[in-house]
Amino acid sequence: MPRATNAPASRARRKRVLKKAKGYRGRRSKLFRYAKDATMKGQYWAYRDRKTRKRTFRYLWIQRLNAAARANGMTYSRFAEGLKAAGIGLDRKILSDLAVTDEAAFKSIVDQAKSALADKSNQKKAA
Amino acid sequence: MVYAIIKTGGRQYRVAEGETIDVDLLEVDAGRTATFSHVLMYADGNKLTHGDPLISGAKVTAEVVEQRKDKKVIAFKFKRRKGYHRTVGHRRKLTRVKIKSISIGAKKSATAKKAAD
Repeated sequence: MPRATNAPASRARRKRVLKKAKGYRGRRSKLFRYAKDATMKGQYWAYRDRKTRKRTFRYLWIQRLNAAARANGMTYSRFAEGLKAAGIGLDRKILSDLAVTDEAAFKSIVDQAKSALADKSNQKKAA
Repeated sequence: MVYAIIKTGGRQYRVAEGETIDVDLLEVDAGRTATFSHVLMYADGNKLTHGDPLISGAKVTAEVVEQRKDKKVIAFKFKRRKGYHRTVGHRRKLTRVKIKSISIGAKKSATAKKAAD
């Protein structure tokens, strides 16, 4: 069998992987065999989780909104319905931020959602 | 605390005058003025105005500071047992803007609606 004479390239390749694995725990940052797996999985999950991040943040905002809406005497579900009826197009990121940083503004939005909801149910009764 | 909520590039941002934010790429040269006419809400501390969903006539003007690129993200696609993997680098194009002014326009309907509540 011929002798493999590609050592510089192989070494460079392994060094590249080990450089990416800096700061990993234990042998995952020191040994190529384990670093290779760790970096590959890291990149793979990073790619996937950039997408799931959008979902998990939405879950978080909705939980915050539910808590804030309930503090104002409304459930999240009814609040969302009222927002739609009132034509308020603010997204959940902004609303949950308002609930935390500007309570007065959030309360006035909740009040408008409430009144829009009341109008909606009155119309339904009339029809 | 005066601020407005604007929508650009599919995202909503809460902006106040003097703030600098990064938004999705706008086709405006650096140093020129960008106008955001999609204003969803305006609050000046004690009064809140919202649109249906947009406040008509309201606009936020901003100075384009620079066109820049976000940090590089690596998209690593991998299918196990299929010998498939791809590495693609990507840098999102952003426009850094400094908010100059927030104007609500002359329309008062949304405010009136609030007063009636």
